[in-house]
Amino acid sequence: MRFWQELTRSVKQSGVLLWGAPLALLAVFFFIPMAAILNVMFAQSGDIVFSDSLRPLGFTVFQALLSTLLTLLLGLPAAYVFARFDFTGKRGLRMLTMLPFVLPTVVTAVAFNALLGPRGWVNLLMMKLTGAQAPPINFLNTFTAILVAHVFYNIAIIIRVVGNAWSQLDPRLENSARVLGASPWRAFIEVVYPLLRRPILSAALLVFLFDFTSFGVILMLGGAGFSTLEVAIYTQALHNLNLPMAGLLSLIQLACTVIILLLYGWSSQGNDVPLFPRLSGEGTRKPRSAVEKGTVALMVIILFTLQVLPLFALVSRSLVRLEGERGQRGKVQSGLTMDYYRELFVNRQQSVFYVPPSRAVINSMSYAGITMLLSVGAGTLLAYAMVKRPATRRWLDPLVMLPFGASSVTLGLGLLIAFSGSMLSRASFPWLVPLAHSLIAIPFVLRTVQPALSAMPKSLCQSAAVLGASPARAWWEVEMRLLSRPLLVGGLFAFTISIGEFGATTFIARPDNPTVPVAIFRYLAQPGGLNYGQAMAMATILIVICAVSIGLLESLSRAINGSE
Amino acid sequence: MDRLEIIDLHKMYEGAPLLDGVSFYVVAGETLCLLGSSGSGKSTILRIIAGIETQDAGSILWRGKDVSAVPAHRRGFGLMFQDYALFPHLNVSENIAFGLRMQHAAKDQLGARVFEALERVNMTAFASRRVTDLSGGEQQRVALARALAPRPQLLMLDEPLAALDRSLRVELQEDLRELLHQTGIPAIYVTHDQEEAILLGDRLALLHNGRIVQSGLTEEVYRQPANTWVARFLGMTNLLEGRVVSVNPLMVQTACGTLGPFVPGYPSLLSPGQVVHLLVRLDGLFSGEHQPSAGSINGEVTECRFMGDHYRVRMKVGECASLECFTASPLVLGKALELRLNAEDVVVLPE
Repeated sequence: MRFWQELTRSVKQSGVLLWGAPLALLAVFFFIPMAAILNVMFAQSGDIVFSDSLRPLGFTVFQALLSTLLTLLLGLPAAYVFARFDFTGKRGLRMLTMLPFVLPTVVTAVAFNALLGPRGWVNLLMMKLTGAQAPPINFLNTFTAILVAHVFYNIAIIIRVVGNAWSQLDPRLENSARVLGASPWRAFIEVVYPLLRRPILSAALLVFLFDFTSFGVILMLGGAGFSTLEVAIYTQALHNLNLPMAGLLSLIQLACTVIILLLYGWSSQGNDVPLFPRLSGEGTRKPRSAVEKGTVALMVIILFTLQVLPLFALVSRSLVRLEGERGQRGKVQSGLTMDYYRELFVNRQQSVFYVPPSRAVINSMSYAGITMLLSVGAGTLLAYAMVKRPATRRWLDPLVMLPFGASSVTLGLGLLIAFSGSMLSRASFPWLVPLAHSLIAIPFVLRTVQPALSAMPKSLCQSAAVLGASPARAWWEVEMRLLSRPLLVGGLFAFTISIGEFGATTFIARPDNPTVPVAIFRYLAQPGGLNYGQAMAMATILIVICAVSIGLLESLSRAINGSE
Repeated sequence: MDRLEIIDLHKMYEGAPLLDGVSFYVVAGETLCLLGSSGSGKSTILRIIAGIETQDAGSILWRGKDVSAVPAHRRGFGLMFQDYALFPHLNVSENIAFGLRMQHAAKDQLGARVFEALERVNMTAFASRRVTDLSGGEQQRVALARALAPRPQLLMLDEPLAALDRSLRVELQEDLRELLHQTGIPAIYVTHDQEEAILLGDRLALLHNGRIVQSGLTEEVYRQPANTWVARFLGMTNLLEGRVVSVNPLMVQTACGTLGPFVPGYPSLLSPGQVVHLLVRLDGLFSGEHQPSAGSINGEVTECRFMGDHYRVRMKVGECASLECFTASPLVLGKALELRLNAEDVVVLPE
């Protein structure tokens, strides 16, 4: 009797009821797969050539450094413009610059293909003008393509993180420096930059992490000539069938990302110390001098060209036929068409799949729905565990962050190796895809719910109790109502992540049950205008889904900030 | 009878005793002001009575029964939080209706009772406003209405005016006083502001070092503070340090000579050699004609401030002490004075 009381008390104390289930999920679907990779590596020795891993490692670091530098170069002025100036269309542009970040990497690749690829607008236009037979611009499969796509993809992080910190920075600090006799430049160097150094560093590290683990962009835009660790894992595992080598590469990748994540965690600590959140919009104003107006205009044009034009090219390309489709219609037709969308519902013999491609859309949507539920559930439990039992946070937080850092390709490879032939294999266990997506999405949900939960004044629930609400009722009527928006935001994040996830899904989606990104990748690999057009059409559908959810996200987070 | 009694409450906080044997009571129709400096554990006492926190030892008797084991939501006590804790997702009338809904109040009565509560605090015009759009004073009124709406058996208010600016505070103090007397339920009012305590409290209880150092009717406490800390805390600074020479008659040796005899005050035992402070009433020092009953002090005017209807004069007495008094006409700086003490104007305070 006494023993049981002691036991239940210590169970309650540890908060295991809160973190137990999410941690079990993590153990089965992350730690076992990682162990399986290790096992394969050491059990099937022979094919490992250690020096073969150095080239991809070197190239990965090199391209990530260069991409991060370029992103900062363009992102910092953009962050400044967003933080300090008001101009027409600012909110719209802000949303548009966020769009590439939440768009699947596959869409990024397809968008640049539609703009600058051999069948892209620019090349078609120049061929028409010059009468040349071959596309004059060679953009695909170049190093430039990788760099441009990375800047396109990650500039939103700099704008968001640095821009937010910058706009929260009390403008009076800068003003007092000016009054004390500092020139605008001195005021920036001696006051603004020191206060923004941490946010800049942590944003840069995050960009570096994303560039380091970039997979879809490099596979589809860089081609065979450029092999990063991620691409090398993919080719070793799925093309060369050299699992031990893929395992070694995964371990190197994991070690690197853990280091980057630790640096990131260190750099983002205490970010908010020197900042003075004041009334929103206090530090912004209309550009006044010609130089300011010019800077803002230039920034708007650059962002518009970089962020919006490729997406516009992609969407328009899915609606326009510009060439004859080899062997299908026989003659050249051009003009507006809905054929590429219509074809998605047709199950053609020559099709890449034996099911209609619309099936991929249904798959993606249902996987994303399940991912949303799973990760919101697990993320909320973890958030509660960390807030109610602060001692757990120290060890729980890094554990949960690991799958996010492990890179999706490593996760996919691990799941493939660990469960092949078992009842959890991809052939017999359809939940594998949403489970993998959930592991990636949980950190995002946690990061949205946990701050909201710990910021909630304790007195709210206590006053509900004093007013006569039982603990369950106080939880439901007060806490859950107040958390509903962060939960929805977290859920939408999870949904968007799942819809676009490519790296892990290529390993664990069944060939006859692809998701949209996997289907797009396969279409692009096929010849012919129809396949190209269908890739464009599917990518457009993805953009629409993601745009809707980011639109919701923006208005929700505005409503959250507004209510405080 | 509606009577709350706290007996020997103990509570540890971060390894040190925060409450070290607190006892007091409050009955229907009266407001007890619980006074103490910040961090003294005043709020913790309220939270323990409300059932949000639990005591390490001691009992909470309501109508003679210990309610320590009853969870917060079944105690039927009202608590108004210092930060008001209004639910940001509900509007003004939904906030007030919350407690009524928890009591399963009939739907048709709900609206009427919410209106009644709003009327009490003059906030009927705000019924459908968002609580996040209200000013501090308006939030305070809504919080009060929300605490009163379920008709609690006991009302506790945790520094309800601390977050407001001075002029608003004075205005709301009057309203609160009236409201507390109207409802007639026992009320515990926590504050660190002695002016608020004088105005609102029928009785005072002073918390210091985890214990109630003095409790009693407000006037009594003011007339006869139990010790130097109480006097200082209540804003009485006209103190002169000394040492007891003899107990009967009560004579005290100060830097200005031996003074007395004084009337022994609060039931505390004084012994020869003990360090005490003489608390001198502001209007108790004057250069009158008749013979002073407790000796006289030589002083020198160091400051004279015009206060509207009187002058406040600061004098240097002895080597390093100073006293203040009120006069009707201004005094010249540096002027030497003979201050005459009357025994009834002086209280002898132990440390």
